[in-house]
Amino acid sequence: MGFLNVVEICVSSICLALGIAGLAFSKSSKAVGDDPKKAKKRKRLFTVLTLFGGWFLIGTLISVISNKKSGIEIEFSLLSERLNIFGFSLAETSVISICITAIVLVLSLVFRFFIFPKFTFDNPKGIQNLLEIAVESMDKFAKSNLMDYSGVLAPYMFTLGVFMIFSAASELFGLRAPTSDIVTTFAMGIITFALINFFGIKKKGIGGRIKGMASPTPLVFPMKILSDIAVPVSLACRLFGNMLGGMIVMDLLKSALGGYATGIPAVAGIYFNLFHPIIQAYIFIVLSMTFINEAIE
Amino acid sequence: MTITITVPANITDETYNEICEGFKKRYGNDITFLKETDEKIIGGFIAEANGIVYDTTIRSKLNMVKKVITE
Amino acid sequence: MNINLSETVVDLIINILNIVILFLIVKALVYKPVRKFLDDRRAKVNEETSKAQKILDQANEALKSKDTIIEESRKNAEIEAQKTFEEAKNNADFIIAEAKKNAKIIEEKSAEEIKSQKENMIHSSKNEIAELAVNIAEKILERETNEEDTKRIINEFFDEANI
Repeated sequence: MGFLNVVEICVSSICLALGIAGLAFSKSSKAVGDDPKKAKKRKRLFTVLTLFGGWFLIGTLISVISNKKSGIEIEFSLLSERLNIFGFSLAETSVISICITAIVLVLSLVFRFFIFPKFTFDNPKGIQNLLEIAVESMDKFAKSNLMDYSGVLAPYMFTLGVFMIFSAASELFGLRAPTSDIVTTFAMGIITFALINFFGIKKKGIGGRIKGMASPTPLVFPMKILSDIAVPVSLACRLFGNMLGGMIVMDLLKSALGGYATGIPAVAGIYFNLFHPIIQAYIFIVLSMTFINEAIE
Repeated sequence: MTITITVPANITDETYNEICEGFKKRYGNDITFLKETDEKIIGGFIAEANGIVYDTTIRSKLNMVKKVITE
Repeated sequence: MNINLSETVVDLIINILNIVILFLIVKALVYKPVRKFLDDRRAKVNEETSKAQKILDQANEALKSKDTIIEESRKNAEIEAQKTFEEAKNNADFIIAEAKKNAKIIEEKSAEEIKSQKENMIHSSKNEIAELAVNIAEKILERETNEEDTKRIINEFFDEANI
């Protein structure tokens, strides 16, 4: 333990102690006589002092104990690591995806047989309210964009949303999110591509679909085919890039803080691991619906 | 035959005999006469012969008149 | 970075299957029940609304017919009142006629009674007078009758008897 570390420990301890004392004082009866604005300012000051002191102390202790070096050096691979399961070599993200499915299965079963029977017609509360809003808004959204096939596609979009949210949540546990793997996103893109063509053919017939591609002039036929293939690829790459970028930034942050990586990554994680994936999920779903809509028209 | 004759109290024998004679003329001579007096007879006589009563008194006439008037 | 294509393809297939299975699970266990529930509730609300609407319409109709009913009952009440009045009037007339008749009968009866009473009185007065007259005559005759009268009577009697 070097001299610097000792100094750090002392300083942080003093800050922490001062902060706690100040908070206790501001809450006691002596401070009541002052005017409210000043009291608030003082309280805020002491809260900040407490937090800072605490963080500093914990960080110092951890970095001393675990010898973690802070630096901006991270390792990542484009494809996720592979695990060996039952003699098969699977990507880590595939395993996590399967786990997500399993978890969702359990939750759905619980919902179906325990929570759903308790649904009431009047005054929905809590979970019932949340799910009602989710299902209803998805239905409305799908109807406005897809019109005819919203019956089948609304649940699919709902599923995509669930999957993306759960995979973002898995990032919080330190695992590599499935959506940050190009293979996973490409799988989602392929399914969407299949759906586009399937519904396009269903609505217009094969001849109609090809004719649609050939209008206004047959010259645009190859370009249309190219753009059609570009759709799933773009969807996949967009999602993959965004998720991977988020993951890299979080990793950078953690490694930069080294032993002091308490609290701050969590706050940043709220954006990168919750908000950002939700936006991306929304974009993915909206674009899928737009393309399918285009094929149906 | 017996005839009972009732006469007023103040009658004379002469008159009485006249009555008897009159009855004798009618019924014959074989008659026994009985004489009775009654003050209430005003005039005339009552004779009873063989169950037949001959009433010539004024009293009876007055009674008859009274009877007739008061009907 | 080394890319093992076969492994990647296997992963791809696994992921596709995974998403499809996930889709089926969510659709069957979560989405469908909630949707059905919402539809049921909407149907129930519609039913209640239409029921309420029906009741509202009924109420409106009842309100409309209320006036008609009030008018009708008023008319009926009038007719009934009229009828009752006439009945009462008839009864009154009848009673009055009866009373008049009875009064007349009583009047006649009393007149008769008075008449007969008068007659009785006259009759008895006559009788009294007659009796009085006869008594007076008797008294007078008692005084005035003499032998001569008796003799005359006797003679008249026998004269007649002998005819």
